[in-house]
Amino acid sequence: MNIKDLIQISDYEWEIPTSVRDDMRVPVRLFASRELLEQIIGDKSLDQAINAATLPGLVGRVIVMPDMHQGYGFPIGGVAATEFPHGVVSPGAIGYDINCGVRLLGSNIEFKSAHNEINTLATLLNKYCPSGVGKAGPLRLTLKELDQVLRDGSRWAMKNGYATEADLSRTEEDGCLQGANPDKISERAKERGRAQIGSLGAGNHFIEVDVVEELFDQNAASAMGIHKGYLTVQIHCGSRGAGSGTRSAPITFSSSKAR
Amino acid sequence: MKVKGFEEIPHAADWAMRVWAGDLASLFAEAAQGINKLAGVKVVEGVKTKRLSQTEAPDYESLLVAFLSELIFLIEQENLAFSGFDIHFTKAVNGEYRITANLEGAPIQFIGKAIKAATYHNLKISKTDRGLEAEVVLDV
Repeated sequence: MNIKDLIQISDYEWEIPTSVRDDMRVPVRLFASRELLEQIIGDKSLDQAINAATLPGLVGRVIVMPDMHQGYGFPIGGVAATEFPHGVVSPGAIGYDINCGVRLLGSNIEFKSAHNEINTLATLLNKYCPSGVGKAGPLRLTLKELDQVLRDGSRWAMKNGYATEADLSRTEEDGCLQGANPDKISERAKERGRAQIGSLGAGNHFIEVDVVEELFDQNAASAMGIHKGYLTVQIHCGSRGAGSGTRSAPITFSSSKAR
Repeated sequence: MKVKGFEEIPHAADWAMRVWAGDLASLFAEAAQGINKLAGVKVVEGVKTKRLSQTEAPDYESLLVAFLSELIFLIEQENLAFSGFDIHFTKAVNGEYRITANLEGAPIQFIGKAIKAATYHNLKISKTDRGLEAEVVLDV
């Protein structure tokens, strides 16, 4: 694949048209700078995006985000929607972590008043946010309590003092998918996850303290409580052992059916 | 040329290893050793523990993933790593392949970077001039 095969839509948007390969059902839309794209072309992520575009039942385009890199059949950073009844569920698209998420936490802490305390902040975050694969969180739940977490999601967190109504309203699906059924999850997956509530995880999970340098949409920033010169915190976590364990069972089923 | 072994191979975002051995049981054992090595596992000396692991799967590739997943679970949940393997394969009543492994190991003293899962990505156990060979991608 070459950049010349892509159609440039804007400075940060590109498209792989369906003419690139006969079996593509939809185009691929990429979000990246030219500089990023030149790095991305070095691995197989664009080929994987094209492969994804051949899946049955796709709705709209396959979308790939700026963090795209080679994944498990589907590029990491890739997004696609498929529709019942002709669309497929793609384990490769989901990957090995389910329900990982990223949140941006605004603050009313101005950087200029906090910059002497940044090292202390980093030390405290490291101390109070358990990180590392398998590392336990501060809570010790029974399997019954974990079922409540799995079923109620962020509502469980709110009931137990770890979240507010405002947090839920700013979370996809208010932090809970309708019809969630913890009975469908293996005991093994639950065992892996029950000590990990409130832990960060490892790999590409992170907590990052940022300073807002520039606002591109003042109205949107104000609505979200984000202010220039103030601290924000980005958090990427989720899935953990329960998610990884839950993912494995459908892959085993799909692989055996595919043979 | 080493009769059996493993080596790390490049991977964009996770870890991958190539494993080879003269027979299936040794291939599975080498894959397990590879996990310990890649994760930088160091065990407590002088303490030994034994476990019996048994699992079934529709094919040998799935069985390898299931076996490695069991070891990853034991590392994560019980802080135990295993380096001695007595492995046997049979057929289960439902026609699936079964692995029975007597594991010997010890509590973990230190682990450099733990592994989340063994994946099916591009996994194929093939016959080569080294016997049997497979490339295993590990989610980290």
